[in-house]
This record gives sequence, C-alpha cells and structure tokens, in this order.
Amino acid sequence: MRSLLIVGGLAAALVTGTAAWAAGPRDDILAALAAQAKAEQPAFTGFDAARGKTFFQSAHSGGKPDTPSCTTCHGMDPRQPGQTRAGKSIEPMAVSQQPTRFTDQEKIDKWFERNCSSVLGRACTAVEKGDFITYLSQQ
Amino acid sequence: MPPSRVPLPPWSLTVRVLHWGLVCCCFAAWGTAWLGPPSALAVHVWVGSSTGFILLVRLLWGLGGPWWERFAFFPLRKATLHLHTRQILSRQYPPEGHAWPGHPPLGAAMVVALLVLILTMVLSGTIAYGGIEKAGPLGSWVPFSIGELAGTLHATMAILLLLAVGGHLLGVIVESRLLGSALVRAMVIGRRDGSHTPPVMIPASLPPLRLWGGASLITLLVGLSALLISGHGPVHPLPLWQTEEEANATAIYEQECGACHMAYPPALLPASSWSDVLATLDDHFGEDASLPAAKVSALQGWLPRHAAESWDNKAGHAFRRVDYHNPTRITATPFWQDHHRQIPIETFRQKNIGSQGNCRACHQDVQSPADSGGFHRAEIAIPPR
Repeated sequence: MRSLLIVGGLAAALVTGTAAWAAGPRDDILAALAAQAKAEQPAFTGFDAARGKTFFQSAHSGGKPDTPSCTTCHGMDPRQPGQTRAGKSIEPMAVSQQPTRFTDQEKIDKWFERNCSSVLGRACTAVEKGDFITYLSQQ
Repeated sequence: MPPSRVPLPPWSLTVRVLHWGLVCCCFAAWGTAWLGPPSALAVHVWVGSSTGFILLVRLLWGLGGPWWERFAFFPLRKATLHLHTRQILSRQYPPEGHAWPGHPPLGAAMVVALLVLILTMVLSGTIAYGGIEKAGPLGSWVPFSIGELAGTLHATMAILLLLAVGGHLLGVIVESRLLGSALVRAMVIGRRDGSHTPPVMIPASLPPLRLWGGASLITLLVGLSALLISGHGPVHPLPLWQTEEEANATAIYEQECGACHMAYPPALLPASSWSDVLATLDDHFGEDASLPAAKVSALQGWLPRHAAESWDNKAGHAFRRVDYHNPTRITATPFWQDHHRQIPIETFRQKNIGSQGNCRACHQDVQSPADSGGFHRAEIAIPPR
C-alpha cells in the first residue's frame, strides 16, 4: 500500500512537473519579450492576438520575393500543417495542435531570425514577435 | 565396332529444356531492358542469373551428355562448313548417304556463336551491375568505370544477339524445308527423324564419359535452388568506423538541412557546389537559411568528404557535372534533368510526393544522407496518386 502511494505520488509529481514545464517557458519567453517591447516602445501596453493574426496573414514587402507572408509556408490556418517550398510538411503552428511550440528559446530565435529576414527583409520587433506568439498560443 | 547406321537420335530432354529456357530468358531480358520501367532491372537481373545457370548446365552437358550433343562432335572443321554451305546453295541436301547426327555444320557454328554471345551477355551484365549499381556478386569489387564499359558492351551485344537469333531462325527455316522435317517440333518433342531424313553414321568409338552428364544435372538442381533462395538486392556498404566529429556533423546536416527539405545525400553535388551552398545560406533558393558559424564550419568539413567525388557509384559519377548557370540546384543537373524528363510535373505535385526535391518518395532506398544515397534502379516506385 505504501509503495503504491509512493508510485502514485511520483506519477502525480511527474504530471504536474511536465504541465509546469509546458506552460512555464512560454510565459517566461513572453515576459522577456514584453520587457524588451517596453524598452523599444514606451507606449507599449501589452501583446495583442488580433495584431498577431494580421501580422501572420498579411503579405509584407521588403523580404525575398518567393516568401511574401508567413502563410506562404505555414498556410492561412495555423491549426493545419504547412508545407515548405521544397515540399516538406511543417507541423501546425497553433499551440493547441503542437503543445511544445514557443517553449525553446534557441529554436524561437533561430526561426524568427531566418524567417523575418526572408519575409520582411529585416529583424522582427519584440512587439511583432510577442503578438505572433500570443496569437498562435490562443489557436 | 565399325561405323553403323541408325535413325536420327532424338534431342535429349535436357537440351530441349535448356533451349526453351534460353529462349524465354532472352526475350524476358530484351523486354525488361528495352520496354520495362527502370525498376524492371530487378527482373532483368533475375533473368540474367537464370541464363547464367542454364549456360553452365549446357556447357557441362556439352562435355558429358549424349555423344551427338557434345561439343567434341560438333562438325566445325573448315572443310565441313564449306561442304555444308555448298550443299545448301546447290540444293543437294540432304546429301546421299547420311545426315548429321547432331547439329549440321552451319547450325553447330551458330549454336557456338549464340552460346558465346549469351555467355558474354551474362558476364558483361554481371560486371556492369556490380560496377554501376554496386550490387550483385561483384558489387563490392568492380570500379564504376569498368562497370560502365561493361554496360556499353552489354547493350551493344544485346543487339548483336538479336541479329544472331534472327540468323538462327533463318537457318532453322531453311534446314526444315530442305530436310522436310519440322525442326521446331523436334526441339519440343525430341524425335526428329522425318520422312525424308536419311540415317546417320554413329562414330566408331563412343566416349564413355558419364561423369559430366551427372555433374550437369547436379549443377542444374543446385542452380535452381540457389536461384530460388537468393536475393539480388544492392550491396550496402559496411558501416564505417565513425569519429565523433563525423557523427556530430551528420546530425547537424540531418537536423538543420532536413528541417525544410529532405537531407539530400551529399553525393548529389560536387564539393565545389556544396561550398557555394554553405557560403550563400543567407539567400538559399530564395530564403534565409543562415546557420551559426560553428555549424557552418562543421559542415564545411563534412560535406566535401561525402560529396559526389567521394563515391564510385552511379550517383557519385552522374552528379559531378552540374548546370553551369545553376551549380547548386540538384534538379538542374544534366543527369537529373535527363532521367526525370518523362515524369509529368503533376506527379511531383502529388500530395504523397510534394516536390521534385523529395527523392525519397520514389527512391525507396534513399535513407541516411551519410551513405551514398542508394538510388538503386530496382528500388524506384512512383507512389500512386
């Protein structure tokens, strides 16, 4: 009976631990982005999913001609898988479909750096990144 | 014992089975090579192996079968061949007295020519298969250049063999009409003395050899069972001893490059092209694919070591030549263009293929990018829509 309790306790700890890990990093990342946004724009009041949606869906200029929008590869519906221009499938961006999205700082940095350069022809601002993650976290 | 006269002896069952076996093999080989899809190579190779076994048995049988089927009794002297030609041209045939117990002189010459031609086909085919596809018994031994040479010989001899078979058929028709007996039927049922065929002379001394006949039957049995149980897949190179650096670079390549497209086997471009790719990652086919300097440097060491020049196989040789204007695009290389010309663009857009860059969708042996990439012809299968 005692050993059963221990096993149960361990399992519970594992489950809550995993859940905390899944939610924690993204909140930390968004908090860091918010601090950065505040520094960039003193008028910043908070991230906005609607702004993020517009940013995700609209066609931008200044980037490379083959990739005018995020949706070029990710598709209009972030809950559906996307496809790279080379034909490889991309897992959905929506956190509801892919819970590990936006939890790995290194991965986030790498893809924002590359894809902002491809689509916008410049680095993204902290506000743009935060809006983007906020929008996709709610999808 | 003085020479005596007997009716024409029948063709043995062995010779008849081997004959029709060779007929089937030749047509199956021509069909799979000239009319089949590239993946028909698997059947072609199986047919070729069967042909090899049939030849082996026929050669042993020719040493120890019934005397009129032995090579030693083939009437191949120059004078005999002249005599036979004159008899046919002057229509004094069959000559008074006796017929030839086995093949007549010109027929025997054609049989020898056919056997030599087919033997050359089997040998050149095996060498080509080993050198080009790196498969079969010689897969690990033959350099690509030798394989390619053998392949050219193989293709040329195939046409020659077709002409020789035509000559053989013509000879059979002429001989059948002159002798008044159906030679084709004789090759099926064995009995070949027709109403007009004169008796034949049997040699004064008959060789007592029985050993070779037995040996050929045993070879036939062993060969057939070997064919049934043997596979003819490609020879996979043994896993090489890997350094940590090597394993690390392979992992970077698979992970970083494989994130957006298939991690192409490096054998598909020469080292100079890979250098170009690494130097222009910020504008990689219209996208920014920049990597941290440490990863680029790891790949700068790894890619040239695995580039086209490092492989003595078909992919490695074919992809050393790139398109001058587009030296980093694999699908622009002359070889790629030439070999995918017949595939409609819609096929590449199929959902289960995606793009021209998804080699693996059809080349089912393309696995780890660290090896030569496979691309064995028998492993090509375009998935259904």
